[in-house]
Amino acid sequence: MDPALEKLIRLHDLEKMEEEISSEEYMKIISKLRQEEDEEELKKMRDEALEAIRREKEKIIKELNKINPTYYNRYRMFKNAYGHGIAQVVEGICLNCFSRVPTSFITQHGKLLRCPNCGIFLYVPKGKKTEGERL
Amino acid sequence: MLKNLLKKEHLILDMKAKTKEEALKELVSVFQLPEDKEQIILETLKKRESIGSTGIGKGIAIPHARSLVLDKVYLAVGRSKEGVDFDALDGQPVHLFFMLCAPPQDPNTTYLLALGKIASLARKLAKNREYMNIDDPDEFINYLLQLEGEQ
Repeated sequence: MDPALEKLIRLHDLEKMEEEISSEEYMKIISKLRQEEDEEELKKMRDEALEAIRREKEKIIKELNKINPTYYNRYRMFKNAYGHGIAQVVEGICLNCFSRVPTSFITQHGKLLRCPNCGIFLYVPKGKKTEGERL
Repeated sequence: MLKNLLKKEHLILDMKAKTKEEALKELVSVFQLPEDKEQIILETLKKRESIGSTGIGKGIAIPHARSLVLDKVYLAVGRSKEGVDFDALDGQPVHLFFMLCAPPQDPNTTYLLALGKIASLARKLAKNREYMNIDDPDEFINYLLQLEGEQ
């Protein structure tokens, strides 16, 4: 897999984790799991987790900037616009703009690709069929 | 709700893992994902563990994560008779694992609902360690579903 693509996926997954840990719904479940009802203790735990994620994100961004400084800026731009900086391709469809991507993308699995319609970075899973393959 | 996620082929009743890393790897392996996806999910799960163990104590752990490389919700259940050192909150070895992995988009909120269900189930399982004595996969799944139904 392209190293930049791998880092963008890791960054995306970390940001999902960050959103999750920040949500009240998730923290209610964690409180139930840990049988911890002390709100201060839970808040402390959440703050520490968010700080650890922030440090990890910084590390990835640094590595990404070494490969190409424009990648992170572009990722952030899309994240600000759409809520995510990279999207999955499922059944040949970009899950950000829901337009069909070229059939040739399927053979380029693992490469850093962008949606020709909306421009977002794409993760194309191996073996997912595009329209071209189905025809 | 867990009925749709609990699958016999995603159940390991005799886990071989001795360490946290081995346990995560063994559990992810049941999903039979391509190697690159498996690596990314493992990395995400390890990161999640590094910010706070999902070993909730009383012999149970619930490793969980979302990843862009997945397109559906996966649940793996594993039991280790010997126990795994998982840095659990109570410092005790973990004997029962529920591993929940999901894609970022989850319109039916299956992931959070399942996590909530597993949390309730775990509390029941912690009280009664009957799960240590069931060696038939169908019986094991039925036992979990029965407990879920009692909630």
